[in-house]
Amino acid sequence: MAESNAGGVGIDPMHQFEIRRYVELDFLGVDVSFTNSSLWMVIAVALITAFTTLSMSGRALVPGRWQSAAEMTYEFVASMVRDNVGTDGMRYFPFIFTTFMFVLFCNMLGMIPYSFTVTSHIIVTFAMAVLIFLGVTIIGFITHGLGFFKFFVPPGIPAVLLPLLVVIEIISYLTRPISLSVRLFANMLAGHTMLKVFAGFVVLMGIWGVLPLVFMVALTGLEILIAFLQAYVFAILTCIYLNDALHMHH
Amino acid sequence: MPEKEDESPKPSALKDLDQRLRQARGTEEQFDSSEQRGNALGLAFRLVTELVAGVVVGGVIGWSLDFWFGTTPWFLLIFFALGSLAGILNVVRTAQVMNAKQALDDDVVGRAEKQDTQDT
Repeated sequence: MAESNAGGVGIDPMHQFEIRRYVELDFLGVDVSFTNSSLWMVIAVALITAFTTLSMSGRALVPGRWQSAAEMTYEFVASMVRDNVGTDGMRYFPFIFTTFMFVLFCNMLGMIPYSFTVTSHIIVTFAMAVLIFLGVTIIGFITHGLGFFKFFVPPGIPAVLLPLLVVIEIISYLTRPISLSVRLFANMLAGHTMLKVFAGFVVLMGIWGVLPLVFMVALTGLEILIAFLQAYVFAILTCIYLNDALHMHH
Repeated sequence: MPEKEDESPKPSALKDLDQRLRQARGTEEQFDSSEQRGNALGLAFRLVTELVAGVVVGGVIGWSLDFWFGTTPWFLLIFFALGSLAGILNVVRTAQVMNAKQALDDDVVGRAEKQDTQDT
């Protein structure tokens, strides 16, 4: 961490977000190199697969530690979908479960020292948010046909104001992928930068570095809470958007 | 799966365990909600993102329309204003949801009723 470039002033809290190419790849002029970001995504997917399949391989009636952990995450997401979208939303449960687990594992893996936090890059979270946004909009149009446009018409509004309000509603709808992605990315970026800055203080302050060290222990706990909370918020907002598309009420 | 568990007849020991589990879960949930209420920074941050996102989307739409039609700066001005309005609308909506949630959490009776409906 900070020790690697501790010449006193050479502490760079943004160094951890640097993308490094491990395998240079080029696909039709597009840079698709295998980077440290890709590596940690692969690790996250591999761990999720291992967690969900290996823990359930026993299929015991009385679950062991791992099996009950897997069942708990399943139940957690399932009740989230049922509460926020309704039982007909359970069709989309696999997608929401995958999204939740991926974000959760990426956030949590980012808490390991020397690892890379995939979700601290806006392009990653924005790509996921845009995919969710487009998917949900398509589901809305498939379910309601052109009637989905009524979603942008607030009820009980005089005809004079209607064009203005419809434009505002559409812009408000378009902000969804941005607020969804910025929330996750900014929380991760800010948290990890803060951790590194305080780690730098530990090195700089010599014996008094104990004080920021104590603070860092608390901060790490908070970051783990935020890592979980942001995965939860990401999934629940996906549920809410899906609910809007399926049932069309604000 | 829980659906199957509900159908099976419960011996008294299991029923007792169920009750104790439910009690333990109840206290845990209350603890959770009070902890989340302390997370005021998170709530504030959510509201700020909503507002900024509205302004950014409005600005980008206005800027690209100007870019295509060569009408700088008129569309940018109009959509910047509309985007700000959309941002404010988003903030109000998010705050309404937050308020409703808070009221539900504060209302002990409401919580108990909610628990009842979940149990049956």
